[in-house]
Amino acid sequence: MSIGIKHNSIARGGGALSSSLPCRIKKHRYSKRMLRTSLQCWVFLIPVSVGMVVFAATPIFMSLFFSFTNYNGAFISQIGLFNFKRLFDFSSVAGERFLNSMRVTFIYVIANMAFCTVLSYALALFLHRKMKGIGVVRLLFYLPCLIPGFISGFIYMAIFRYSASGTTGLINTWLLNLGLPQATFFSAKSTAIPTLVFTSVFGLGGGMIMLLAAFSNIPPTLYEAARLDGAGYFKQLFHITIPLSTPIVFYNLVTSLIAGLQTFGTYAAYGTGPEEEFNFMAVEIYRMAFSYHNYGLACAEAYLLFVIVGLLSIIMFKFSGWVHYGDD
Amino acid sequence: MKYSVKKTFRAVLCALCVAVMCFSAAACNGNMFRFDDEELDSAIKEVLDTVDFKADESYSGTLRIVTNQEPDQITIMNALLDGFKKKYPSVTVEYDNYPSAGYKDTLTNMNSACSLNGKYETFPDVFWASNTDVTEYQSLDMLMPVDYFDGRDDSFDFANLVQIMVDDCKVGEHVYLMPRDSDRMVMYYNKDFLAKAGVSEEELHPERALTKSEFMALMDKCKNVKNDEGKDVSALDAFWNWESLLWPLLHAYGGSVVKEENGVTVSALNSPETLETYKFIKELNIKGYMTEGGTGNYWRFKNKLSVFLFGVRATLTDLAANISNIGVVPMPNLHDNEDRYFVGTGCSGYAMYRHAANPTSAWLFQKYVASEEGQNAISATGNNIPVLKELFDDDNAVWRNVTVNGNENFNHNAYIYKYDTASLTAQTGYRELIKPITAIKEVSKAFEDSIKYVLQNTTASDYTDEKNGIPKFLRSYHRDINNAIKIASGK
Amino acid sequence: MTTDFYTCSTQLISSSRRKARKTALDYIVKYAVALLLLCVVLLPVAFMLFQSVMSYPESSGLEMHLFPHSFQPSNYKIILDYLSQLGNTLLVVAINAFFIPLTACITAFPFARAKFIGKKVAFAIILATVMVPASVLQIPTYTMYATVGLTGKLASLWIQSFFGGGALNIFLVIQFMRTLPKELDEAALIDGASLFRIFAVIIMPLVFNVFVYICINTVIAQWMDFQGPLMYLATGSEKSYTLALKFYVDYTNSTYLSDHYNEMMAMVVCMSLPPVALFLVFQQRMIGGIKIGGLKD
Repeated sequence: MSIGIKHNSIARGGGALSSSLPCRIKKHRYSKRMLRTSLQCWVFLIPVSVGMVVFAATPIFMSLFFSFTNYNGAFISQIGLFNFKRLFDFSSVAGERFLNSMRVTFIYVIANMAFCTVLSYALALFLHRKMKGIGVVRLLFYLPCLIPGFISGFIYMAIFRYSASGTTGLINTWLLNLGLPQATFFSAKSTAIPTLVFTSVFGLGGGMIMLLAAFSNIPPTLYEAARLDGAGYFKQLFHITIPLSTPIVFYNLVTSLIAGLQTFGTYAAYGTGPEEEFNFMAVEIYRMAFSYHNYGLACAEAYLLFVIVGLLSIIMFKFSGWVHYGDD
Repeated sequence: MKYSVKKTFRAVLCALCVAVMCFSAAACNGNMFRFDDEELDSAIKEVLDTVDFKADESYSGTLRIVTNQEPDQITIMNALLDGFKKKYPSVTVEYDNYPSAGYKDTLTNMNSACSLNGKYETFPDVFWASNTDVTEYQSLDMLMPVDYFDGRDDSFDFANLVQIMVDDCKVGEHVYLMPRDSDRMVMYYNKDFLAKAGVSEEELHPERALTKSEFMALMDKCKNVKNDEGKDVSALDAFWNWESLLWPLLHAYGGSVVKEENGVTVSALNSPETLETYKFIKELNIKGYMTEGGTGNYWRFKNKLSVFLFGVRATLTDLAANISNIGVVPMPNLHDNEDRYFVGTGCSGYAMYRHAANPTSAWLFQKYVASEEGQNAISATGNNIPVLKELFDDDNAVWRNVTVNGNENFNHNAYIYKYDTASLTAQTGYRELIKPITAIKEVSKAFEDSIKYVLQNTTASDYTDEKNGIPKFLRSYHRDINNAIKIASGK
Repeated sequence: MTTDFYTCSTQLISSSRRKARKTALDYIVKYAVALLLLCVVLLPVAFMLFQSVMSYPESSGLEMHLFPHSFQPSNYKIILDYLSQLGNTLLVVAINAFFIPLTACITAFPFARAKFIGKKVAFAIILATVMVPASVLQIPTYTMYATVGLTGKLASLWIQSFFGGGALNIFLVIQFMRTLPKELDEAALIDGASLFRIFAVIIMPLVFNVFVYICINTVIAQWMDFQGPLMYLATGSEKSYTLALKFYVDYTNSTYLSDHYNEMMAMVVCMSLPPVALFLVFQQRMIGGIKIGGLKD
């Protein structure tokens, strides 16, 4: 799985011929130089390797072991494949719930990725200019990201609450004062996820900052050359800005995919939502582990989630030919 | 140089993975595997043999206790420890408190760590738990069944305690928690607002419970009170989202949460009786007596925004600190039939850890909590009705002589009105019926949430409408309860 | 000729005036759009700020309104209760904020700049660790810390920063390093520099703005994080809590604070100030351009 490097054959001695020769001797030949470089590179990787083994490998392998058992947090009494069998049997309640959580997670992730990528890119473009006080404006756009997670959940709930007979949230109070009917926001199945995707507009600042950093990495000489050639704003946008910022856009897409598939923060603020609409996969896993105390099943679900995320990431990387790197 | 280098690299990686896996599997303590059902009698017998049941005031040892950080908990524990340390001066007590948020998670995490690395002595010997947590802790095998201790110890008998509270602390036949008080729902009122509504205290019949018609008439009289700032004051504040208030009412109307059918537990929530109950509660909303589902923390009553409150003894000092002129009467009968009078009760207490390092001192502490001295120490804080039966009717008991805001005539009898016939706990009501016990938490939650959403989301005009009213929520929570039971049973 | 010159100069002057008018209109339009967007995006922040100066009956009242009718800045006195936890938080955050980006850069360099044996596998493994949901790793990780005796101690919060600062940070630095042209290190390689030299002398200064970005992000995430501290520090004494944890604990224990949303919001506003200040100071660094020194245009 390579990050867009398509020309690995040069690294192997023998070049283009190597793949066609049936002879094994020349196929994977590592020069002395390659070995020396590799050794040096692995020295760089010592901290992360130690961290990987101690902090990541042990918990991961332990929970992988648990997924084949019925560990409940205190003891194990059965070992076998029953957790996985149960999840793939869609007539079982657990399997059905897992399927439902997959559905809501995918809907949310796709909507969120599209919404956030496009909007944060547009916002970054809009704020990438030398205007008076642009620094303050950028700061103001970034401010909502600085509100801690659980507080922002409580604030959004206070803003968007719907109640047929009691305190309504801020926006519904305004609507009622204007004589309009209340909007159901988080309380109805059809509007719950769109409202959640909308609240991510308050978090656009983070992606925007990164994109602004990426834009400033583009040498201004390119723009000047383009302007001299008579290119207008949109031509410059499509031929310079977008291609050269693709590494960061790609990073944003991959991280929002990985983070989105593991959305969990909504549970503390909104619970599982109307008719389990906010029962995302990570929330389902948490409930299975700490409410039903069926830790083994939760681990099995977690590894299925891992496989899904892994496959999707591999697909994303394979189809990342559109990313333009400076070293190609 | 062949591709042996790549091969070696791959081999090294695989070996590393296998090593880590073996290491992690070996790191699991042998104790963790339990393929045969544990013989409880013999396992506990081993523990009992290490306990010194003849220990007296000269016993020396250590004791580690943990509670959460609620101010009430800390006050009560300090009051208990004052007396305990005087009685057993050679026992060293270490008292820690953990944050209330995630208190249960902290304890269960510690237990998991102990079961994996075998270091049970890092876990405290005694910890506070409420009656609703007992089943959860027990499913994780964290609690010591202290009825065995009672059997071996002549100086203590669970029969001296209020039986319904002991039952509340049971899972199956064994008692897992030492109850420290017996709490009960009552109706508090704000005397100033009562006067403003033109109702005298005698009309409230403080020596008996109001009947349903009397209660509704009272609500009607009190619904138009305004407070000093001219703001509307609601007649009633209650936290319906709580099984101690909701379950007795449902039971009075003849409904139930779960039932047994062909040996399997299924939901019984979607029934006409439940509809009647929820209709009644919704009526309180619609007639203007109560806003929505009431408020957690009773803040409407505390902030002088309601006349009456369905509350408990455990928060008495908090309420009294906010409302100087507070009064109490027994919980009214919310059912037309006088015989269907049920009042919610509950308790919390102190549990001994299953693998406690100091079972002798832990048992001494638990006995002290239930002794007259301990009970009086707890009652002195003002918030507790004793669980020791003899103190109930004792006119000189501390709990009856606590003055509330200088009022010596505070109606303490309201808390024990018809105690033996009307008290009802969720444990003996529906929790006992739910099998397996890992489903209990989710079923309770679904039950409590059902009333919350009924009150919030059904609109005034069509609340019994099959499609959009209360029945819609009943069906959906009925389904949730069934699903919860199925998931816990492995389906 | 003179007529031409005259026409040219008037044309120049009028066109520049036209440009000036056009730029002024441009500015107004752009500011207006920005203002409109800000009104939407800043709604939660405004809500928080307004709640923090409301008086108690208003903030816990049942009617929702945005603009406060009361003004009670004494709510802000609440921060005095938290000063002792400030030191803990600063220590944890400082260690994390420095070592996480540093190790991320160290780890990212070989992936971005060199080809070595096992590169694909190593990258896959690093990214794979992020894909496992954290809930299931909770018990084994907690067990590990408990066995070593780190539960209840502050060290549990910063010990992971020395060991490769998070897969996503590594990935970000890789992406940034790869936007740098390869001619830089190829020149150095020809001069016979070792990889370490290239890293320290050439690449590190150029990715400084990413370093600062990760640093700021880490500060913000750690400053407000209470879930990690709640799990690992709960069994310790209150003196070793971090700011966010003590705040969360006070908010959930049935104490004064859990009832008084206005003072709680005041505390949140105060807690947000250090990250905001940091952001303001380092904003130019993060977004400002890099100097492609050493390369001829």
